[in-house]
Amino acid sequence: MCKRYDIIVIGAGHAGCEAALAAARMGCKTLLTTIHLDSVAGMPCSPSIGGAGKGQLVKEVDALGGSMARVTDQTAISYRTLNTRKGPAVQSTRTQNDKHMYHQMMKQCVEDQPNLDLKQAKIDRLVLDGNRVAGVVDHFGYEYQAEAVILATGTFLSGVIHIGHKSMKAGRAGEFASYSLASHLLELGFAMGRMKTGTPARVAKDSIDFSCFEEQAGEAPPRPFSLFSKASPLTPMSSFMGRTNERTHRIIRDNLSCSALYGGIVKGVSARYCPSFEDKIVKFPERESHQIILEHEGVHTREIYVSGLGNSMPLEVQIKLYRSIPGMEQVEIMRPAYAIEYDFLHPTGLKPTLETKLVKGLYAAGQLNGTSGYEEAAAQGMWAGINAACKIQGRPPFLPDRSEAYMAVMVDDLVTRGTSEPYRMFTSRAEYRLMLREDNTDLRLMEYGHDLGLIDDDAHKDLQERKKQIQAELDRVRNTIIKPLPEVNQYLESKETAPLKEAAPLDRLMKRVQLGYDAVENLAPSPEPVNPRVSRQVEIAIKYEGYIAKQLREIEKFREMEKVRIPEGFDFQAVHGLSNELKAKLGALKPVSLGQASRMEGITPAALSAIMIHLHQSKNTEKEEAQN
Amino acid sequence: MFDAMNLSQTIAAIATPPGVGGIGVIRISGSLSSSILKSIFQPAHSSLFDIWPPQAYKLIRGKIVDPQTSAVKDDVLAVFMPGPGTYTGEDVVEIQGHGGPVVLGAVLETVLSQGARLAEPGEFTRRAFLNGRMDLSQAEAVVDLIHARTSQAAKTAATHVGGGLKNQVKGILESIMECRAHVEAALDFSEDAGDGETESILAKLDQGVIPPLRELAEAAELGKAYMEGLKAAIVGRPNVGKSSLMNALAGQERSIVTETPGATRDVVREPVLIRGLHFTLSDTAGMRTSSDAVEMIGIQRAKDAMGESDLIILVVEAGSDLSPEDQELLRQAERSCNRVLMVYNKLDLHPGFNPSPLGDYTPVAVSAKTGQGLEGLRQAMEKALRQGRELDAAPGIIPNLRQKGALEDALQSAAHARDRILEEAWELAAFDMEEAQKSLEQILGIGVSPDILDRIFSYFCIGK
Repeated sequence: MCKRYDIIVIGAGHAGCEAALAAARMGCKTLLTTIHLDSVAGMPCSPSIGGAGKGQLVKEVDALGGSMARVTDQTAISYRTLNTRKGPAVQSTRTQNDKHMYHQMMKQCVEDQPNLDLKQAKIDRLVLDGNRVAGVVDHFGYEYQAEAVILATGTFLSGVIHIGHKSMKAGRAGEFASYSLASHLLELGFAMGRMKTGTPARVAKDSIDFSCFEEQAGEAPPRPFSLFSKASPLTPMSSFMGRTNERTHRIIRDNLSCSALYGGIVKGVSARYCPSFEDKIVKFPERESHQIILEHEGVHTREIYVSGLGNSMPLEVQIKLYRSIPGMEQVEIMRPAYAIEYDFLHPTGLKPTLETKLVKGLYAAGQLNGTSGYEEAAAQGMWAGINAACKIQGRPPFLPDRSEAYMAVMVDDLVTRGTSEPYRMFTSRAEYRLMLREDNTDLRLMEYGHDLGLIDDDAHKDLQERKKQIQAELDRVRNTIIKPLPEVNQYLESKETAPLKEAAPLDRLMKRVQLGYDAVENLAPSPEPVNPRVSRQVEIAIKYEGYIAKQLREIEKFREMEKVRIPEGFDFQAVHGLSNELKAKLGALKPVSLGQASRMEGITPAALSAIMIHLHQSKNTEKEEAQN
Repeated sequence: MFDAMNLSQTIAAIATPPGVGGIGVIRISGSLSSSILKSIFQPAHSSLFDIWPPQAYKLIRGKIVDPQTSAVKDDVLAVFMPGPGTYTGEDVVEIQGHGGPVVLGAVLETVLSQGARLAEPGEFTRRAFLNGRMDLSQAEAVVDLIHARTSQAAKTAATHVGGGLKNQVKGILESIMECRAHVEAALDFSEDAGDGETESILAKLDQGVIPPLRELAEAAELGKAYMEGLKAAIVGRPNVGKSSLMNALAGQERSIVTETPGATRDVVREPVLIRGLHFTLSDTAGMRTSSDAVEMIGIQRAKDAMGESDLIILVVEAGSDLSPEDQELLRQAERSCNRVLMVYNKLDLHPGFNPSPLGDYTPVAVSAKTGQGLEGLRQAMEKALRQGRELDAAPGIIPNLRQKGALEDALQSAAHARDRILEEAWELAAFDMEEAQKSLEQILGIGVSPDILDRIFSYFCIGK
């Protein structure tokens, strides 16, 4: 007795949901399974979406027709744009969300999706046909067949949570872990490692004196995440900033041996960017104070998330710790902080499509691949879902390159260099950062989304229209000459920039630091009203012009290297002049291009030239054979 | 640097080792090779050029002439080798000239002015195998050669990038990385790291980055002068003894010396070695108003020579103060060049003449005829070249030409970064800092830049 699907997705977190939605929207009959239906798209840590680099990921998923941005807008209680005083390339959106509503809305989105079944099932093993995946079997022995399976199990594989020296098996606090699937993968020969992450306590709102904290209200009006959202429906709620003190730090120092992290219990590798509070105290002993932020977990709950105070201390130490903060002397903990250790798959075992090299048709996405963050997970889910669907439908894989998307930077980093600590997106990981902005995700990716069938024709028509308008307005501005009239110079002086002595092109004026598209509106407004999304692109194209030109040249060179493909089955053992170590490394990773090989760790210029010569040689030999 | 992937451009480089040799070879490869040769080459027997392209693999004698200025750069032998049967698989031209770096450099510049691009190190070899000019064993030999060169390059990097330069560049790189780290932190972690401290980043750029880079780039300029020598123009009114002075310094009769003013009608050039340093002396036509058309052309060329010179030796006759014409000449010289030497000649006719200092100048008095005072002139020339620096003190610190280019790029990027910080355009500052970092990494041979292929071939010596 078994049911047939095209694609099965194991795990309904942020990766799993986007993977299943993309596959189903592309016409694949899809099953999404979860250990617990009440935890679909859960936010086990911060009730927040976006941030530096992450906001870009969310908007990329949106431009490809994913759901994270839309659900975020429906459930956001506060919006902020980071780096508003810096340039457009590093401005990122971040929201606070009602996490319960987020779960409900995303679950509803999945349930409403045709072609997609959502089921509570704990998957224990895969069904294989040779080295090809054929389905999955659940805890009760029930089998589901599929042509492709996407693993999106998050922290659930062999998950253990730690509170002080007390440990328990769990995928998240209060949820089953998955041990059988973990050992099954290990048996199949997957290279796996162990990582650690954690979350702070949730405390009762009524037990806090908020007058001791600095209120941080969100932006008004909010700037929605999604290209398709008009507004955000919920009433805004503030966050509250406070600081730790010497007493807080002493409590940690005095009780370090009770910590799971420092008491020798936790073995998994944790992220430097997301330290637990013990780490902050041990690694930065000179700091007298650290910032903490109190964040609402939702509209219909009084639980408060204490950002910055994650730890793995026993409950009695946690109580002391939180009560050492001014305004929290009487605080009541509703859920304790904890650390969690889990298995991850070394992502170097994945192809650029996120298909495993070991088992055909099996894909992996999200925290399982050694990343951290809801946004990183969602982007990988989208990537894996699209590629699994493409493969089944016999379409070419979806592989934008590092100059096109943050998601591509992340996937390439993971599959090429692997990761030893939880991988988080940063803008500085993107070498073409100036091109990869939040404001141009539609221009970068929506065409792909439309080709894949994830973006409808109306949105696509809008995009085409917008592209035309941007070009037309750019041409108009570049061809406009501004004369040194009194009203012009009056405007320039009001902007604290030098008046004109002779006529000047408008685009050259706009390049002045003090000016922007504002200058166009004041000096030579368009006869037609200009959409802000059009004027924004015009402004950036002109103000960033020199730098964009430099990046475009770099991108051209980068693509030359990507174009030198290394065919599947290329025998690195036969390459003359490679050390045995590199032969083994290259043979294991199987880079698909000279470009990917060049980004591998430990690769030498000499090794690359050896590969290139061999590639040319085999091509020449083939040609000769063809001639004979 | 991925320019080197582009096979459609014609490339050129000096193919023989640097230094003064008997002959030096310029190699040109690419589709423009023969047309470049045609535009700069004046064959000794013009009939040879009736057929074009010239007969393959046949050496032709002639002159390299700058098509813009008609200046003769060198007497050479040239050979044309049509592709695909050449080393690179492309049309190749080789020009055999006289081995000195100044002469070869001048020929190379002329070639580049006609549309060729300077070859990256190892680029000829890269083209050879990209164009399928190698069988398996040769290709493998190339790989082995790369390996050998890689380790050799590592060794020479340690000795050749002299300790002083290396440490200085490392120190600057360290400072840039520190600045960039601060900027990146302000971009990616503005909430934890703050918005970045403009003042401290500016201070770091103003202390640890920009001034030392500028100093190194200047040292490189000096190093270039040291290696290639200076162009020194001898100028003055007619019959003050310019040609005699040139012959005295060169130690041979090169310029025609007559009693008749205006005898030198063209610029005569002569390489000389003075106190271990290379100079190319130019004897020029005397400056005066003349009705003789040929002489006027000579005077115009003298003015051009002044404009091209690194050092101007202004010759006046001893025995009297500067005439108004001399003063006018001095002003012209100062406009053309920032290094001017004042020389009073014919001391033999005015024994006991002792020139008084003139403004910033300490004039030298000589007799080209007797040799009196020449040593003092040589010292003054050396001093002008060294510009107050002790070259011998730290030879390891003088960057070579490739390093010089990288230093100048780094300096420019660092200066841009500074401007962007002032404008609070942090993401652009980060971009410029990364560019500066990449430039410095080229000198040290570390760093993983995407321009990896070019790094491979940088282990090859230019030309092959």
